[in-house]
This record gives sequence, structure tokens and C-alpha cells, in this order.
Amino acid sequence: MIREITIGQYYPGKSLLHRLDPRTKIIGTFVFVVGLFLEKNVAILALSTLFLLLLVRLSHIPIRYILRGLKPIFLLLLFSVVFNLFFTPGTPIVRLGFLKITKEGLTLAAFLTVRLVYLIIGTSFFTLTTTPTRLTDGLENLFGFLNRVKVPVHEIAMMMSIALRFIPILVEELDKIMKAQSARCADFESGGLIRKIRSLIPILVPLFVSAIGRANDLAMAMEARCYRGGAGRTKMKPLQYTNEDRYAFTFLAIYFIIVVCAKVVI
Amino acid sequence: MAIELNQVNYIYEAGGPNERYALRDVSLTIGKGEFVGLVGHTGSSKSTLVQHFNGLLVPTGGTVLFDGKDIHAEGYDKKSLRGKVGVTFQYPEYQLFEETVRKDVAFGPKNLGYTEQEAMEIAGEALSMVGIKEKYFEKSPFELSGGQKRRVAIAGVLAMKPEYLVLDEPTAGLDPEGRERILERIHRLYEEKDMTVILVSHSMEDMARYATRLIVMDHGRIALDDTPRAVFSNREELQKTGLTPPAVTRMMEEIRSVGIPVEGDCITIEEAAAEIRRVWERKRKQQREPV
Repeated sequence: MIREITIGQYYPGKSLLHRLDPRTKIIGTFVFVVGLFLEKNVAILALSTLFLLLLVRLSHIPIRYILRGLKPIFLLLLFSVVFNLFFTPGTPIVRLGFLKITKEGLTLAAFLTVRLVYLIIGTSFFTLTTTPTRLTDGLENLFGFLNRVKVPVHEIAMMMSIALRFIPILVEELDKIMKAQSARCADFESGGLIRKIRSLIPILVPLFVSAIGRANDLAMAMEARCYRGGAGRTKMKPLQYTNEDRYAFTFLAIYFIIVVCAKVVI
Repeated sequence: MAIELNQVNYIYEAGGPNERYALRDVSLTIGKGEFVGLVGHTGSSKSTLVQHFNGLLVPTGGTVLFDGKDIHAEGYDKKSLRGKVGVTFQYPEYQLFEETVRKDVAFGPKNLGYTEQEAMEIAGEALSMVGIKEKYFEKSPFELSGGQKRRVAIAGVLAMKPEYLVLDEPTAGLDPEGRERILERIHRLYEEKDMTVILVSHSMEDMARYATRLIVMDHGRIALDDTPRAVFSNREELQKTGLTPPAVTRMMEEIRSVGIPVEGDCITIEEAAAEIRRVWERKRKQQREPV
């Protein structure tokens, strides 16, 4: 049930996408997202669809697993669709009492849904195919220039990767605590809102206690191995672009040009 | 009156990258009045099996019956089941959350519908069953030592007055004295309160001492299911699962192998001591009265 959260998780594999340099993938994600939001344009959506299909093929990740990542945003999606559908002014198509669905609303809702879904899927490919270590390295390297304006890039990247790494751990912990309290007949479903919120206390208190404990242990372990931030830190496996990355960049450039053309022409 | 598993299969994370079989065709009946030991090397799915007993995990295939009724059938009262089959998990101290020890233990009975006052009373009883003194009742559970926390967490399950008490490695990570204390308390519950106990453990010594029946798990299957003595004497099968009999059993076999005629099937230190004494005295007698 809760174990099914896949956001930000790594899916082990050896595909081309897994092998690519994390920086290539960050830039690729960026190009994809910019392209997607360039203009409301069917041609661009079609291009984005092709791009995603290509990623699915290249990554060897089962499509069912990728789609699972959409579950958490389902409610958000539903909300925005309903709002756009009913509250966009324009030519009405259907009337339901005081509500009306307009032609403009319909297009807007359709675009919004497709774009949001594509956004989530497109960006999740980056985390699905990149280990937390490589992810940190990539971010750190790409945004390294910010160091000059005193932004602690390494630290921020490290925090991000630790946060991602901790998601499955905390989810597992949550699962364990929920089971332990269920074994004591805890009830998380029935009752009104206040009772439901109260029923979360037996879960949240132990979860926080253990999360803080874990953070403490991790800090201690890092210190025991002489971690002291990014300054002067060397890498065991420095990032290096390969030919595959060069092909990928060429592909991205071509893709971007086509998208821009699609915007201008259509 | 029994917990009954029929052909239970369980798959973790079906469809994900880490999909794996945890239980394969497990069939098993645990009747009242047994003290069942559950052993197996790490990853043999003992904990997964245990979580089927009170319906926390739903089997991928097969059925779980309690007193003859399918616990996953529509409309089955799982709450009352969980009151009857009390399960404590590994490191149960992580479930503590209330302000005071007594309130925490009262959580279970309150969920079962007892009034605040009744629940607090039952909580007090449960705490004394595990040997927590009254002066700790109003303390925060987070102030206690590791062993005390563990016992409070076990009391939290005992307070529901279960007929079956399932303990998943209740002594993991405790010092010898803490282990001893918890096991003694559990054994007393079995003897005096007629509780059926299912104990998951890595210690063959503990199993030899307390269990009336020993189930050996291996890669999600039941490899052996018999009395501890029978399981330990079946050395070959046991070793296939990566386990060894208690040290004292192995010692007696060693003694036998150098030609001293002791029985090799002793499983506790007491038995072994008695056996050595018997052989020793017979020898002395023979020496005193030469034929």
C-alpha cells in the first residue's frame, strides 16, 4: 500500500539511460520541460509524446512502474481539471444547472492534464535511472558556478540526495509502525476528521523519534569518516562525458530545434 | 481453536524491481497450549509468516483461518482477531508514543473498547506481568532503558489479553540479563496464564529450553516441524537450512565420538549435566566394585 511510493526512487538497470552522465540527463530533462511548456500546441505535445516513448524504450523500465509514480498527484490533477473545465469563460458546450463546460475550458483542461502527466513522467526518468550518488555529483557539477556567489552547492546537493535516499527508509519505517499499532487494534479509517487526525499521533510520534535518531546516527557516521563538506573533496569516480553523451547532446539539440520550429510554423 | 494456514503464498512488491517470493505453499496449524519456536536464518521469512497470523499481511495466495473462519473474508472482525492474536514486532520499542508508560500500554485495551479507567487498570496488570515496577508507570517511555522499553512494548500487546502471543525476536539486541528476564516472563505467561506462545528467535538454546514444538523456515518454506529434540537430532536436514543444534548438543556428540557412552540427544545444559553425571557415577561404581 504505502510501500508503492516511487517518486524520486532509483530503478536499478544497465540501459543507455542508466549509463548516461547525470549532467546530460539533467540538461535533457530541462530541454524536455522547456519544450513542453513553450506553447499550447498539439504538434509540440506530439513531439513530447514521441520523446517520452523513446525514453521508455531506452530505459527498459516497465511502463506500469513508471505510471505508478502518478498516483500521488492524482488528486491535484483531478482538482485542476475540474476547475479548468467549469470555470474557464468562453463558448459553452454543455450546461449542468449553473455550471457550464466551455470549449476553451475543455482544451485548457486537456492540455493541463497531458502537460502535468508528461512533466512528472519526464522528470521521473532522471531519478529512476540515476543513483543518488551520481545525482548529487551531477547537480553539484552543473551548479558549481554558484559557488562563486557563496551558494553552498555541495551541501545543498548532498542534502537533496540524502532526502531522496531517506524516502524509502522512512516509508518502510512508517509501514512498520503502522503495522505495530494495527496489531494493537489502532483504527486509522473510521471516525470524523478530528478523530482521524488524532489517530495519526501513534504513528507520527514514533516516526519522528526514529527519523531524528537516524539523522543523528547518519551525522555521526559521516563524521566518523571525516566528512567535512565539499571543500577539497575529491571523487572516486569523477564524472566524465562519453561518446554516448555526445550523441545524446546532439539528439537533444536537434529535438529542441524541431520543437522551436513547431512553435514558429504552427 | 487454532490458527490455520493453508497453502499460503506471499510475494513482496509484486511488479516492482525488487519483487521476491517470501512464502511458498506454507501450510501449518497452531493449536492452543503450544509453545512454538520459529527459527530460520536471516531472510527466511519468519517475520513475514508471523504477520499473517493476525491478518496484517494478506496472502497473495492461500487462506488463513482462525477458529475455522477465513480472516480475510468479507465482514470478518479483524479488530477482535488482533485482540486474540497479539503480535509484537522486532524492536517493538519503536512503537511507543504516549506521554506515560501506563498510557502507552493502555492504548490497545482502549482500542478494544474498554473504558479509560479499565484500560489503565489492565495496563497496570500487564506491566507487572513483564516486571515493570510501579514507580515507572507515570514516567515517559522515552526515559527508560532499552530493555525496559522492550518490556513495556510487550506489555502493550499483553494488555489486550491475547489467547495467542506472537513475539518476533523479543530479545534481539538485549544484554544476557535482559534476555533472560524477558524469556522467563514469557515462559511464565505460558505456564500460568495458559497463553499459547509463538516465539521467533535465533537462539537454539532458548528454543531447546522453552519450546514444545520447533518450526524451521528456509527460503520461505517450512523445512522442519517437530519437537525441538527431534529437530536437533535431524542434524543433516537442519544443516541444509544453515542452522546448527545448540552448542551443548554438539558437545555431547563430541564426547560420544571419543568413546564415552553418553546419550547424544541432550538439548539443554541441565540434561547434559545429568547425563554426564549418570555416566560418571556408573563408571565410578564399576571401579569400586571390580567384577
